[in-house]
Amino acid sequence: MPENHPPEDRRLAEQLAKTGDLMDLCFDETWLRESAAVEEASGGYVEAGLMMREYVARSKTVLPEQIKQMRLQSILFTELQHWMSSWQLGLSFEATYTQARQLIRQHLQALTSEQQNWVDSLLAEDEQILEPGQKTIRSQAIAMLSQMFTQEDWQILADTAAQGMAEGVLQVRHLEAVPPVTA
Amino acid sequence: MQQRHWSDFQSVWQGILIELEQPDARWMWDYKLSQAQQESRYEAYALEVGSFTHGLLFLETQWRRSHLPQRYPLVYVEALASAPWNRSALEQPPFLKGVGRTLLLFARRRSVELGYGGRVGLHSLPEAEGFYRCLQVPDYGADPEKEGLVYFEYGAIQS
Repeated sequence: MPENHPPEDRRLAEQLAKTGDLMDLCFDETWLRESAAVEEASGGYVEAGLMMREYVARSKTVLPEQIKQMRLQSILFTELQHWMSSWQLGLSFEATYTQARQLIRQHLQALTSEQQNWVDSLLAEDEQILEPGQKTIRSQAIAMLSQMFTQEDWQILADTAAQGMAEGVLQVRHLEAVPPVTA
Repeated sequence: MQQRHWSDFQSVWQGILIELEQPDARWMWDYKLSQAQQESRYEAYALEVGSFTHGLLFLETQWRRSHLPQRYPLVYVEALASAPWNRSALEQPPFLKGVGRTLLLFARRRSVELGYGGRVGLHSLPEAEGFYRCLQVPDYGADPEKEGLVYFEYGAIQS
């Protein structure tokens, strides 16, 4: 049976010959515009796989609250990641960062009025086209996150970091098996 | 893909309230993520922008074969999804454009890396068939073994 090839395959073959990495097409403006146009033509639905059926069926609308949470968490988690990078967590970074995100998510569901005002200002500032240095509300993010974490939260993060480090070391033991010493 | 990407999918993509009502979907992703961590034939990836998940990709890389009589090995897309705010049908303008095609491109890159020449197979959800047809991915028709979802398969990359 002869194989059919989509028109984009020629571009992919050229890219492979040129740089050896197909993902370099993501730096090609024509490719990006074409990708946007193709998705626009199908309403942005791209889902594949039976396990996605329920997700597609349940996400026929986007609530303003979802967009707000996505934008807000995107800002807070970016700042959190920068902040936590200075904690020198090494092997336990991922586990501790994941736990911190979860704690922040919980706090976002029960903000004080002061925190809510700050969040509203943060999102309003984010809509303006400003240089990073001009984002004064965003520059307060780490202070705000620090204030959100309770004593109990800090203990949970410390425990997660310790456990993550222990698991990481034990994983190294398995991954880097040293051959036995022979006489 | 890490636990936090799955968490973004559960809590924000599907809505915080919905998350509590979906034990099955929650279990399924949990299971798939753990499969990817434990079985080398499964691979899970996330497309992250601004420390937030905007796309998910779950691949099977060893057992699946082409629908062609030659039964070529290929990368099979177990699941591919973009966040709902990236759909122009729901949000104008979409927050991000091109997430789906980027994930597909990545699947093809994995296929090249594995020596499968760029062969990738997938079952499209009905809502997304237009996307794959627009890309002119070869269409092998409805698959009764996958609840009638249409099977699309990229061949080996040729100029």
